Amino acid sequence: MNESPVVVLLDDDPGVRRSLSLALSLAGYQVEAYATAEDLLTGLDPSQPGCLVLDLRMPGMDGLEVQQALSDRGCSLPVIFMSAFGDIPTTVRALKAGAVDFLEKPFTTDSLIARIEEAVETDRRQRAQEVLRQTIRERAGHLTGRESEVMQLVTAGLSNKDIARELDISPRTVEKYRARVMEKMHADSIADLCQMVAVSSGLGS
Amino acid sequence: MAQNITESVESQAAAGAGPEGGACGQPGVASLKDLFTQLCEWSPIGYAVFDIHGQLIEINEAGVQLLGGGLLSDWVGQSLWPLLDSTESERVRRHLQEACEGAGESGKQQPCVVQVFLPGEQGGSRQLRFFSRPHPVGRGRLCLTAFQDISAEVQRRESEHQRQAVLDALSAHIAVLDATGRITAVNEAWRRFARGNGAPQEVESGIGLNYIDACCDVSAEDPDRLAQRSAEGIQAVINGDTRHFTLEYPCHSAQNQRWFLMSVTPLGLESGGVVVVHMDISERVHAEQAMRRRREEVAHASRLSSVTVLAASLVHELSQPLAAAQLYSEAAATLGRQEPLDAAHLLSVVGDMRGQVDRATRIVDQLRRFMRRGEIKKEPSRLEERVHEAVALVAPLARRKRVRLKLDLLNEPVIVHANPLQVEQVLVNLLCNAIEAIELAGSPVRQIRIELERLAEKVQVTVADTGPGLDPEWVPRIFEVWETRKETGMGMGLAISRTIIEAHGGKIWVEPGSDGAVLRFTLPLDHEGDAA
Repeated sequence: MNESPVVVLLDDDPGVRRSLSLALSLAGYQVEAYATAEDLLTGLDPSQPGCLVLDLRMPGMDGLEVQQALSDRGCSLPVIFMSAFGDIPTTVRALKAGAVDFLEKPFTTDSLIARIEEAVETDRRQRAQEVLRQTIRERAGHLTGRESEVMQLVTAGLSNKDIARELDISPRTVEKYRARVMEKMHADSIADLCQMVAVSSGLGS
Repeated sequence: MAQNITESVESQAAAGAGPEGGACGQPGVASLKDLFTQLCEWSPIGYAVFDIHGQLIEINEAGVQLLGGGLLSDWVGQSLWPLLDSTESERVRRHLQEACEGAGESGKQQPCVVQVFLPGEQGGSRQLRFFSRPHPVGRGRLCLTAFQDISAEVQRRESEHQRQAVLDALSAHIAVLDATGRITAVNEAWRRFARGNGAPQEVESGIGLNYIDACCDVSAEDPDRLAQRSAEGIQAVINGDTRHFTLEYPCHSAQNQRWFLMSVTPLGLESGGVVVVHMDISERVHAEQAMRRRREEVAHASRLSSVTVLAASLVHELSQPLAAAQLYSEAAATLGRQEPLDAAHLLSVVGDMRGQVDRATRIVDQLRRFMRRGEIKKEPSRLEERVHEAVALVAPLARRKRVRLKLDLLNEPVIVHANPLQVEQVLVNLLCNAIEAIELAGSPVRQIRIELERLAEKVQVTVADTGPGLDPEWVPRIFEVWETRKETGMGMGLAISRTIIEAHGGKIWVEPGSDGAVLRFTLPLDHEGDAA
């Protein structure tokens, strides 16, 4: 997780593949270049941070299918598609599947680097978010059933009185559970707790 | 019975015999007299004595036969009038009268001559020529007539006239050559053409000139060896090496472009000789040229429509080297700024960049060539090169649609006499159709096989795909102009493909009973190209 980001390239055209590798290496990136989708799927380590730069049209498995295969494996590396002649339906499909960007060939190294920077940043944030989500889930795992119920109702915006009525317990008992939830979840405020619940359920950013 | 005739012949013979006659003495003359009598009897020339009214006084056997046969005795005392119509009778009557009376004019040596038509058997007619002189002892009342059948001679002369008239009436330039190549006769068109080309009057007919030698003389200033080829062709027909020789050649004047077809055929005579005919085929050639131009216009339009189909994949194909060249150029700039400068690395990057620019240039050249308004000329062309060119244009589309192109070419070069662009266009059409068929059907096996096969005198090209095959109901109409089932307009490509293949002397068809679609076409092999 602390490794420097790797840019993973996929293009069947040797000229494009080699020139891209060279340009990105000279710009200081660690580059991993593949000629076929199969090689990429075998060789890729999804745990390493970075992004993917895929050619949209390729013989055999194309960029969209690679994107789908990676997503099926739970790999969420951001994808930048390169295309020579991207038609609208393909573009829409790629974006729906989570592509972060499109580049029409030919393009300048700078425009590619700008997009790679964004993608790497997105990856970094996603990974940080994932770490946070894991922590929250871990803390939530220490809650008892009652504490968990109280947290759900508190973050849904109910008052102590309403919660007491809902759970058929006294408002004081509610107060007691609530303090324990705040403590176990390391929450400073109700707003903080709400944020955590949102993140763990995949809503927050 | 032939007393008087014999006497006349005797006197002539005596005169002819001259001194020998005298030297031989009386018995020799007597035997000659018998001989001449016999000759008169049996010669094919009729001899007769007519009186001034046309009555036959005497006639020999040959004469009887010439007049229609019968018994000689029956003819004596008869006249010719029953045999002749009124005009002929009148002419003969006048002739005999003049001949009899000519006796009065002393010194008139020339015989009177008349030609007489006699009705012959089966409605035909015979023509006799009468030579008549006054009878030496006829006292103006008798004439001596020799006559012969001139029907054959007249017929021959007439047919000669007729032949010349027919030759003169023809617009082609015709010359008859003897076995040595010397011109023995020409027609009016030949003379007119020679006059038009400024030949001096005395040689305008060219009669007596040796045609083959004349051809060989101009060979020096003849880049296409036309004159030399004509000379060789004429010689070959004269030698009997070939029955017929033809050569099309241009012969442009200052005013207009002209083409001629020279054809040489044997006369079929014992003595040999040939007929050389030069026919003005300019009109035909102009029409053909106009047709070729129209066909090329349609072909060009169709090529542009193929380019529309190929455009997206070609842009893709072109953008790859451009993208690479762009990245290499920027990398080179970065390397150039680095300290210390790694010149070797920089140069290798520049070399890679150059390679990508060349690649882009090749694609642009290919496309530009295909989109060009084509040359109308056909030329000896290597078919496998045409296949490679067509495949290069279609390959990006095939890659994009994941269709494999499998080439099954021949080891030795196959040379056809063809317009290279148009042949490539046919291949591009067939390949695009095949790719589209596979794509639309979503066929699991995606392959097109392009095969060349050498048959006798021709080459067969097969384009077979793994698509769903053609609808049998559509097959009979597949090559018709407005038959297309696709929005892309590629269907129209089949109509122009057929036009192109047929204009090259080939055939194009759908091979029935296959799984995918199998289209085949043939092109005749170019033998001159083979030899070269």
